[in-house]
Amino acid sequence: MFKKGFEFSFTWLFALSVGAIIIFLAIYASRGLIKTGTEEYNTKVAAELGVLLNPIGTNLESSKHYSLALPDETRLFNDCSSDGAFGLQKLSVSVRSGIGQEWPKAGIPHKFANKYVFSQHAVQGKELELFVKPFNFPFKVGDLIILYSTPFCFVAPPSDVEREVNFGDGARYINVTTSKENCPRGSVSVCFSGGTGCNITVIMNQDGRSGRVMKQGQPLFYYDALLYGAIVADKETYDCQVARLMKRTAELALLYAAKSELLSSRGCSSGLEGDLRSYAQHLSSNNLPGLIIESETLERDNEKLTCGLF
Amino acid sequence: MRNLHVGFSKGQLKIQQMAFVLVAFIILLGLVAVFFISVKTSSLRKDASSIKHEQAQELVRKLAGTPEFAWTSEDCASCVDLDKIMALKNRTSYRNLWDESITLLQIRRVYPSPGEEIECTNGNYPACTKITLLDKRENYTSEDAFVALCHIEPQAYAKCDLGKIVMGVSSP
Repeated sequence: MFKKGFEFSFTWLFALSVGAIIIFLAIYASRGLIKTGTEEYNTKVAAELGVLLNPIGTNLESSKHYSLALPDETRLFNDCSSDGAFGLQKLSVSVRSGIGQEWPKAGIPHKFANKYVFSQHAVQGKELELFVKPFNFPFKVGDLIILYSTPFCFVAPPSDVEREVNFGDGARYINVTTSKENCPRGSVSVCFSGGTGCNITVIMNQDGRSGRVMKQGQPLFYYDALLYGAIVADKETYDCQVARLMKRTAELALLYAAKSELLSSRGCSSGLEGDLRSYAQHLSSNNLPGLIIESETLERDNEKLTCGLF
Repeated sequence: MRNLHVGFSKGQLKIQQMAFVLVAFIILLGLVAVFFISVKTSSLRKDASSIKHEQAQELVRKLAGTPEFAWTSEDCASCVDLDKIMALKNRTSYRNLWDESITLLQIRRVYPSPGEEIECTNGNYPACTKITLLDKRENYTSEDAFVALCHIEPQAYAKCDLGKIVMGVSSP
């Protein structure tokens, strides 16, 4: 007796194996295309963000607040390198994806040599807050971009800090209160004026312009607008951005020394060339507290000049 | 001697047929992929170029306010310090400060203009019309912004002329 069976011929075997290979290649290619597309989109968002950071610099203003609304929940990665003449600010972006991995790999970073972004290494949110302040040491060195998405609570800050934070529409996500108990739940508390028990403590020097910010037991020395950078940024980012700012200050000091020589040839001597050159040399030490005195001396000397340098 | 005859079975013919179809299918896929990649690349190039130009437009507008250009003696947002820019001309380290896509950075006096264009040097400054800070000698499309060019005269008073900042961005 014969049983009726299915003949599994070579043609079938060949067709099945080729079909499997084609389906595998199609899945592999589409996965690759989605990954490349996501990376391309993330790179484009970072580049567009870079374009947006250009007009937010200050001219004559003392500070500016901005809110940056993003189309989707986004992670912004702030990388800083202090190598080279001015160091580099790198910003890369990862937008939350609905397909595959929730947080895909960040796109290619957008690089700037003339921007200083103070933030945590990764900032996440659909709306990012920017607080822009010029940094003068003693001449204008650049604009500090303070970037955050988590709420802060300033407990009993000095009047000038309170005024700056509330300037215009006020900085969103920064509450000013008189005691820590009034801070909104989930906010990062920042104690001024000798207050204790906060996440961050600011110890101001008597001059009111300099001091140190205590974070997780570590001091971050600040001067002037760097106070906000020290509050918001992590230590690594803060130290790197300060090193970059010192490099730019040194280059600017040499530029002002050259300007002074140019003016001397037209009979308007300042006599500050030597001081500016030695200031530029000392800036490589990155010793902020030690440099403040020198910077303030230069500021006073410049004010006395007929042809002011800066 | 006996002749050897090679015979083809129906199965072998089918396999050959399928192999040809597969080769044709793969060529077709390849053509589609090449077309897709070229469309994607051209759109990416267009996007990159438009972002580059947007960035240059924004940068040239804000350049007058940067510490290297700003006139700080008075409160004037669109005044640039020509003495500082002249000093900047000789500093090579500053080439790294500008974006890589910037191929030309020039400051030109528009009014009063002596007629012919004269590049500023230490010998003829300020009786000249343009200061070239960067010129990579590449193809570029330019963006410009009008500014007041201020400098200190020998009698220690400030004099400002009308000028513009010209920025060239590399064009594909």
